Amino acid sequence: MLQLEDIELFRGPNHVLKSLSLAVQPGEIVTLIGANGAGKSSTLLMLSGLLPIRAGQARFSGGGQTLDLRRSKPEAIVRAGLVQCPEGRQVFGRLSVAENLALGAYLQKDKAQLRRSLEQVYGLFDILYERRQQKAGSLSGGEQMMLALGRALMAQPHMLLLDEPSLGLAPKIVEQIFELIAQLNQEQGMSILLVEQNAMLALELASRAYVIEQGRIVQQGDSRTLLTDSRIQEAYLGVIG
Amino acid sequence: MTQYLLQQIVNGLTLGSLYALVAIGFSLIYGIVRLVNFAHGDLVMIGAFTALGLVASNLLPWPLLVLLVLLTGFLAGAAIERVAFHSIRNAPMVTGFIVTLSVSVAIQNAALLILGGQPRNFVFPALFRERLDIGPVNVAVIDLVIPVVALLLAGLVLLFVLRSRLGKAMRAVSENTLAAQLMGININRAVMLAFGLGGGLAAVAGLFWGGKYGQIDPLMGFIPGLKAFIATVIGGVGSIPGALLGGYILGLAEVLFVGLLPSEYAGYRDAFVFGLLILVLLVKPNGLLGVDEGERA
Repeated sequence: MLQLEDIELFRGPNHVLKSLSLAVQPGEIVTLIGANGAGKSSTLLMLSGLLPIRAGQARFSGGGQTLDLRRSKPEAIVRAGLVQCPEGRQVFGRLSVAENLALGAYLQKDKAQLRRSLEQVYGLFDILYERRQQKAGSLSGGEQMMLALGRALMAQPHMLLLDEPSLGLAPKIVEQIFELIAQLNQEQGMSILLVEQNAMLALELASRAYVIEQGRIVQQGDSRTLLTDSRIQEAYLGVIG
Repeated sequence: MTQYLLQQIVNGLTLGSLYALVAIGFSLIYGIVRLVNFAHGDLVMIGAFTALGLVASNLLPWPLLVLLVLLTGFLAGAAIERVAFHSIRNAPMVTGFIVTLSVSVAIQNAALLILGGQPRNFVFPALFRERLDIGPVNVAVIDLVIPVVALLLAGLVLLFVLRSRLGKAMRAVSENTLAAQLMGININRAVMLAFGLGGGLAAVAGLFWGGKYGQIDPLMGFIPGLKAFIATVIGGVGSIPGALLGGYILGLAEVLFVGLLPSEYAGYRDAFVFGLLILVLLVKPNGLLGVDEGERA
């Protein structure tokens, strides 16, 4: 579904990804864990076509077509079904909830499909339906997260890129969001690449994981195995060995 | 006295309409790329000279003329963005400021080269110069046409930005460029559209400016540009209703200042305008209808 090989990425003078390789199979939840500044968010921005790839191969296939991400514009990537829910939610605070959701399906011109997507999102989040006329900026943090997720789902993604969905949210809300992600994966077969600092949560949700340090993948494997790995426990799970 | 005052108010509304048309462009452009475009006033000049060419041919019905001037301004605005501002999109604000000033100087000098420095007479068809008595006030048709067309265009642009798919995309880009890109919105198109719409409105202002004052020249865009910028700041940068309000307040205030005070003060017109700006900013630092940047999150 998603295949990255030996990716080199620069942001200004900084060499942020060094020979990064990573793959996500259809229907899989994969997590990328690592410390602040390891290159997690850069990886996702690159996948959405917002940072130019210096070297390496990046391919995404979804909906029966294959896309070379190195040569694809952000809108082509969204159209192919690779959709990101960005870090910090980034809802359009001065627009209404309904307008935010409509923008999520910006590239969808089929009105009937648009209605179906909207019904689906309102079905998942009652609160968004109740607040559809309200300005997104007036929502609570948890509600904004739901809006950000709903907005991403409006694009009918084959694969969802999630950047720190737990950031700044109460544990109870985080639990709710993570349950929903699992549900999307199980019921719709949506592939998910999850970037998280909360490694415990991420490893419990995902089937496989990559550990990134200073732009390099330093470890990868089955989530359950990594959860019991002493090095991972010490570095990311706060277990003192 | 009432008659004189009413007359002045009509004049103020006409001038205010011209400022408002130009101010909306400042606001649209600033809203989307956070750039104060000092070359924006020169679109007024481009519009005026386009209109001069079209009026001279004397073949077109005037609504079509307005439309053609609007279209030319749109294309010129979008082209200037593409050529001059596209590559500095992410540069620091100071760079943007200098570049827009340079573009302004370049446009003015190119116009001087091509058109010559001699002011040209700009005569509207007789229909517009006819004078009407409306109650106690005697006005030229053009003084009525200007506010009507200005408000109509401003309303259309506002409707477009609030309701249309592309307009919503523009607002999304203006609020959060990153998130807008993640929705698949083409940033370049949204930015060019803002410059185009602004350019179109400014060009129409140029057409009316020429018609009202009877003379145009390559440097004519500077003063309306500057005044409209002040109107934008008074109304609140980034807000379209604010730009309209600022334009009308400035137009009225300026005309009434000159008209109601003894004539020896008329020379202080611009000082008065800047004084008004400072006063508004002291009380409302974001302008009358402006949004606090801090609330934009």
